Amino acid sequence: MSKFSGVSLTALAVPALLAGLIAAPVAHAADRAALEAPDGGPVPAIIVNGEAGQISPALREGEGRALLDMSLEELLAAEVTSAAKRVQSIGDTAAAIYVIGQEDIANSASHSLSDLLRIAPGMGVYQANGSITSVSARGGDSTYSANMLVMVDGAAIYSSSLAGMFWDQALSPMQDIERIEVIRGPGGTLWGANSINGIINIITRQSVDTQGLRADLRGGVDGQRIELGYGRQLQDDMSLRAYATGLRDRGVDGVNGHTFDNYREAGMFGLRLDAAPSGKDTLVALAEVSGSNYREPRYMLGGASTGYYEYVISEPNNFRTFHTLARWHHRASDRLDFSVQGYFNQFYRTIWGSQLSRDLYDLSVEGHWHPNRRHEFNFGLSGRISRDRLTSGPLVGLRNDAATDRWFNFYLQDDIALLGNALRVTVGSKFEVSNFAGFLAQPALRLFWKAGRHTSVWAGVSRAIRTPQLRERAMESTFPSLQSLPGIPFPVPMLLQYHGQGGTVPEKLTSWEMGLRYSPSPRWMLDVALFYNNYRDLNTATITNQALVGTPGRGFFALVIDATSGNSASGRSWGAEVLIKGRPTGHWMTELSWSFIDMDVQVPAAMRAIVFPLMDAAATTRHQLRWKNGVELTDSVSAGAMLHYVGASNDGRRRPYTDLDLRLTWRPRYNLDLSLVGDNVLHDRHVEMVQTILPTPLVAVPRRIYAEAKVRF
Amino acid sequence: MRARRFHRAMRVAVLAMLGGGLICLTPAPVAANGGNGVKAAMIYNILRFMTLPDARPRVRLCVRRADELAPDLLSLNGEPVGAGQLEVVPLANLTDARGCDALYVGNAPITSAPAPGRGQVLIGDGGHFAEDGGTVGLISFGGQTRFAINARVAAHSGVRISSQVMRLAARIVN
Repeated sequence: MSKFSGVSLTALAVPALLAGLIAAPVAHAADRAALEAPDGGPVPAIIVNGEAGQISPALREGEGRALLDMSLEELLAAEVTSAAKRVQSIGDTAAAIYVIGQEDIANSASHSLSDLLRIAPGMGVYQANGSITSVSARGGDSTYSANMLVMVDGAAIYSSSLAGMFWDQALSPMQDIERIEVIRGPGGTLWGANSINGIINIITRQSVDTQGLRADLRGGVDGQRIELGYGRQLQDDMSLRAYATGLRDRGVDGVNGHTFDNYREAGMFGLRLDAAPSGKDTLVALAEVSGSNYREPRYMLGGASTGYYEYVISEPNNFRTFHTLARWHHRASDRLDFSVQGYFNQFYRTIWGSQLSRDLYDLSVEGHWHPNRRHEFNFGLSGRISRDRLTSGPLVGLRNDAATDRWFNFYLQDDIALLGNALRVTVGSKFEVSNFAGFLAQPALRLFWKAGRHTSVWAGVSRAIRTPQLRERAMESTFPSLQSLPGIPFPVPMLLQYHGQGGTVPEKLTSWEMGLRYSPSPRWMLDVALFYNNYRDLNTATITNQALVGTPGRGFFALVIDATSGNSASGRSWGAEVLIKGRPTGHWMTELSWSFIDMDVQVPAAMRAIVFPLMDAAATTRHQLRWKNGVELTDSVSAGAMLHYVGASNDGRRRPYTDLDLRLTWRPRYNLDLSLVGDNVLHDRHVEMVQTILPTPLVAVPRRIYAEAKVRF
Repeated sequence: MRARRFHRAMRVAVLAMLGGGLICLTPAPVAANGGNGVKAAMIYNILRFMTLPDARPRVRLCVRRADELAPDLLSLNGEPVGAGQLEVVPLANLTDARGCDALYVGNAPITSAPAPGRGQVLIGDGGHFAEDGGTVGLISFGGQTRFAINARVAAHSGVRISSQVMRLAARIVN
């Protein structure tokens, strides 16, 4: 039983936050009263050192005022590029967006990039085992985060072959993260396929921003992590950073506290060069290598004279990656800028007893054109080639051992300013052609209305696509398990043999969204988003054959089920996300967020006996509540805490849990931070994810306590 | 049933908003927001997070009248800084900086400004400004502005800089 219930959490947080929202306009008006002329006209001249100094209104009006209201961190970094693929402030974005900034990272207890995403309202982050973390938004939770497109510094690291993201391969040093932009809702119009339920855009700091030597060392009983970085400005217009991460982690527990051998060792090293050869040009080039050895628990079936049984093995696995990227950005004029980017990503990974490898080449050109006062165009085209190889193993295999996918896409979007910039209509579409999914269009229409100084409203309707992964198109998968069957007194081994088919079509989403932002002062903000999602052609497994097969010489039975991929399911989800964010004082930052999802996935009634949807609405979490706080207790002591309640999954198999993350930091010197960090401190362990298809045991995420030192020279 | 009602209501609301937006045809003015505004706002924010050795009701920020950032800095006059207010003082020459708590020298060589004394902050442009003895150097790189801090100079002047600012600095010179 949780020590805190969602109700008591709300009771604590809501009155304080609402009081802040209500009181804020009064304080704001009082703050400004001293700065504004009584008649509202130009601020009068002042006499300084006997001379008349005319005060310019430059920073006091319109967007200049907004600059003064920004924090230093916002001035340095809080631009939003994900929603519109151009610099935009959060408050002007016609999408449900949340930015995780450096202050959030500094105050969090997170131990990995995926763990950091727990900060964002409405995100579902569930650790499936020591190496796999599922990250989702707006339902449809899946092991490899199939519906979220993940970008790092402009490169998509989403694996289209297995439809998802290997989060254990995201090893960028957390100390180098500038911000993470999290968009809930589809982004296919600009970002392309597979951003059905959201986009995670991880942006690392330019090397010029990380000069000197920086180290982040954290360690505890459960694991250790080291991050190192050295940056240097080579010339006025060129800088370089070398960075590395190394970690050991003992993984997760069994539900009863017993330990699996699911340790993980991983490391990465990277170099990043930034150059600004002219005021109009910037260049970025980076190269990274990473690798990991880890063990992953999974069930095996054993046979004895008394029958079959399941046992857990800890299978040794590993991955190796190489990633290199180059980007040139040119500002041709105040009205036109464009960038050219190319990257190559290669990985090799053992998975389920097979070896998966991929070579990915991507080349893109993007631009912004502002031809007149009303229109701002975003445009881009890109091509991509991915060559996947998968050796046949006991559980998975690619029919032809290798597959090459090719994409070409083009997008155009017009941002139309109306009513003196108070109203913006954004209309556009992405058009994509691939050798396996044909021609796809992902249009969107969005509206942003600045209803007043403190209030803005947005709405949008968009279409998004998830292209079929290799498993659904060309893979042979076998999922063994033990099942109890009616009429048979002992558990019978079941082999589900899933055959991918070339005729599988993309999953389609039509999404309706609307939102409200109310910011009575720079200190307080209310952000509300509502959505309705309508899914079509969802992937299904259709049973084509099932038979009880006797085992030669033993007389035991095995149930063998053959199933093929299809698109017979449809679904819908609707929900709300509410965030109240405030700074009651200059030293206290607080956030309360609540999200709700109702999701349902169906197949036609006549097919229910033999067709099963693979998007699992049953695993979706209906309610989540988070209360995050960061406090500067003194100039050298700060504390961060996040209380989070995660409701039960739709089917009730994953029970609700409430837990607390804590961080206490002491800075004895300006270049040294010493912290004590607790992750999930309320309970010994809790279950975050129940696997329904993959043959893996139920695991629990343990409490973690560790010490951390950050030093900078 | 509840979902269908919600969907219908959402669709009507979204379509009404989108339709209303499309029929509005008033041209929009171009918003002006130069890079100097960002730089001036950054200087203001850095000063807000500094503690000078002797509490004072007014913090005097001086700038050469001819400096291109002067109009933006002058507009900060009267803004709250700590318990007091910012007083922006235009100077004819940098050598007139007596009585200034903070001096912004722009692109001028650091040697043209007096070395920061007790309770004084010297701010200037360039990647090496802090390294050369300034307290805060503003670095322009690729159209963005960031800053470096010389912790030794700040400590020598008795100026305490908040850890929040230190954390965000692109470089700290020890």
